[in-house]
Amino acid sequence: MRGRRRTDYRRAAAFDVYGTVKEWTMNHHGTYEKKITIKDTQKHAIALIGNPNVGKSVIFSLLTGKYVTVSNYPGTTVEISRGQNAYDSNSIIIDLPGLDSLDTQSEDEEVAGNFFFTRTVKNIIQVADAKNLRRALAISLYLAEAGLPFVLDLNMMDEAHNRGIRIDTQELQRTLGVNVVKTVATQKSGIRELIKKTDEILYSNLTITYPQKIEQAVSTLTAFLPPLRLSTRSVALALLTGQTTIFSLFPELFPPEKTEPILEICKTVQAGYSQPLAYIIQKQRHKVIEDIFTTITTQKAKTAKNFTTILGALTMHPVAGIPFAALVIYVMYKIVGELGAGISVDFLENIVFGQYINKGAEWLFHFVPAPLIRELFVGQYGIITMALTYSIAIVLPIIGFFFIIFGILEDSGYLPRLAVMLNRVFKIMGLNGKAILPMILGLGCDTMATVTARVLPTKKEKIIVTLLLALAVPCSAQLGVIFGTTAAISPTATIIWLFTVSLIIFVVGFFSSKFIPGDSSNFILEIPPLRIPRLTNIIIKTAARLKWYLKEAVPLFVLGTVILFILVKTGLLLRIEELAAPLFQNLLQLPKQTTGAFIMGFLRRDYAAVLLAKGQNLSHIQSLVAIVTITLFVPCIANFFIMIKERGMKVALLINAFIFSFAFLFGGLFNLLLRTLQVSL
Amino acid sequence: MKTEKEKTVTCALCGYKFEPCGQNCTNCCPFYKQCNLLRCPHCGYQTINDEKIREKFRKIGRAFQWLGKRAKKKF
Repeated sequence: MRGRRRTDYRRAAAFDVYGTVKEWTMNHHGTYEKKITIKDTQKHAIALIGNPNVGKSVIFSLLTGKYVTVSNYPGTTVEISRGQNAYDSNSIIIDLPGLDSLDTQSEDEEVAGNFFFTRTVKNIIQVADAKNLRRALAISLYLAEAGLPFVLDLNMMDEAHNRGIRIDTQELQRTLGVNVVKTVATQKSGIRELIKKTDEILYSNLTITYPQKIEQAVSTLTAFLPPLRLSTRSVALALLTGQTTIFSLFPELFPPEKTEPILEICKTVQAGYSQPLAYIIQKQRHKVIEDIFTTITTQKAKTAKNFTTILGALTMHPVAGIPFAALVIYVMYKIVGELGAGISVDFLENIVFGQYINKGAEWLFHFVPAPLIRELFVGQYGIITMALTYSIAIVLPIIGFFFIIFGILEDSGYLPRLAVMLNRVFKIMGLNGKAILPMILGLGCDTMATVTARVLPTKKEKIIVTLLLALAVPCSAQLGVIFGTTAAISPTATIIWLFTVSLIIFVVGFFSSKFIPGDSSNFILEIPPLRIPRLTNIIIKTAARLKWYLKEAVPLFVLGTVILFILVKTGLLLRIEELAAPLFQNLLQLPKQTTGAFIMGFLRRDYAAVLLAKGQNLSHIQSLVAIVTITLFVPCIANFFIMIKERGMKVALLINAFIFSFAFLFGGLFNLLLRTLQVSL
Repeated sequence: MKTEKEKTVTCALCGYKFEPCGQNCTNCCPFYKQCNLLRCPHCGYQTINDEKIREKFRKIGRAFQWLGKRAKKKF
């Protein structure tokens, strides 16, 4: 007898920073499902602070012993989480958002900055990336000036060591006057030492001396300030740099009659300098950071450049990198287009499915008395004869070969180099990292990349990035299928398709740069060394990707086929074809029978591409026009749902309306251009 | 307490090493249950989680080794 399936629920607690405690349960998919409000507990708080991507979330989960981390989307931690300290039942760990400074520039920095004003903590653990110590020291200096106790955790020590970086922790400890611990969070190394040192509450003795006028102003301002959780000196410095959020945080302590003289002092000091006070204060801090950094770190001289280093640099070069990119596309065409979409598809479609599987299925269903059921499985729009044939005989070989190439690109370390090269090209056009990042992320999965758009500060930017992703960035799987179907037409068709899609990305990206402000993002891409890919890695990755694709796409192919079957049987497809005839016949010059394929584009655009390439008797120009048009469709139904979830129904519908109008209008224009120029494919 | 063997995954884009737990596809996506992608906490790039397939390959390898030993003993 089959027992009831047991779901492995791992429980974890996540807390709101201001007291509300929420309990989350994590299911076996690693996602949170339930939220129950439970009683808050009054315990000592230990705050975790650090720059983004320094392994703070890993340290947090190690200290809490539970998978509490609602993982931070790149560059931000939207929520502040709390967890019970696994090593001390009387304390809790509070995970603050990743930040580069506490100058309250972004929402995250403001949240973290205000946190210390409103909450007393027993101790603070500052997690630092040992490779990028300068960034970390900026936060250390803030904590020192604020008079807050802290322990400096130098994380990623293994990576720093591999790069030849040596840190004199004893000297750093002496300079800062607080404990310094070395950890490798991913290997759980140094965590016990960190916990031990967290029990010792030490305040930094480091003081920064600013120019005389500023020092005088700080002394004057401190007389106006009431006692706060942070040192009055740090508050006075913050006020001089123009940060007045403290007034809104404590309106009762800072009535207008008290704030006016403070602001007046700040104005007077500023009048004595030609540069902003914030700049002068920052400059002095940077000088102190640089002094500490040069005293405590040594780095081994770089070894002489070898062949792979030179090749790696060439592949990233904005000009020299182009032949490499062209070579990659050529190899991809030869393998995906000729071997995958040509030889393998012919064999599977015509011989395996055409002569054996479909004929066998037809023979089997011949015994089924109900003709409708028979047709549903082995008819023109049958689940076996259409959905399975297309997904296994056509998509599988194309995508299989594409994933092999993609795996080689990933494993060789070429992908980040391509990203850097593209970054430079895009920057020439005035685009910044914020606009480029989603395009690269979209290669992995458009749906997740849309979620990543949360990182952008304004609603406008989020909408633009969502639109860009849906319009012009196919995920790797769809890219493979569409590339393969185009390659099956001809090499010229592939080049035209590639050029057209790149052009659209460039044009749409260019216009997006006009809307997205030009600040460069904090996206730091560490370039791994160029290496020879391992065969086992490629095989395993390809197998895992194929499994993922089949699990996600094939059910949609089946669903799409059933929808088409229903539309045909109810006569609705004919009516839709008649209604859409002006669009397809006049604008795109395609037979109205292609309407069905375009309807399937709502589910997945790669399915529509396969239907158009294989299911219709189209000329080469018609095929290319249809595939270019479908490339501009929304990637998949999941992407549509995520748009609703992230941007709201109204915006999602507007984006979709724009995309479909743009796709058809561009398709029409493209068709006109091909026919006017009499392009032969 | 960890219920499954944790392995470090290296992001294919930025080379950042991270633990796969908690980096799964978001449950905002309707297909998250069958999704096998891991999101890099550093750059956000989605990498395939190949651990299950890798384990299957290991099992197949062990089965072949066992068969080889049996055949050796027999002949």
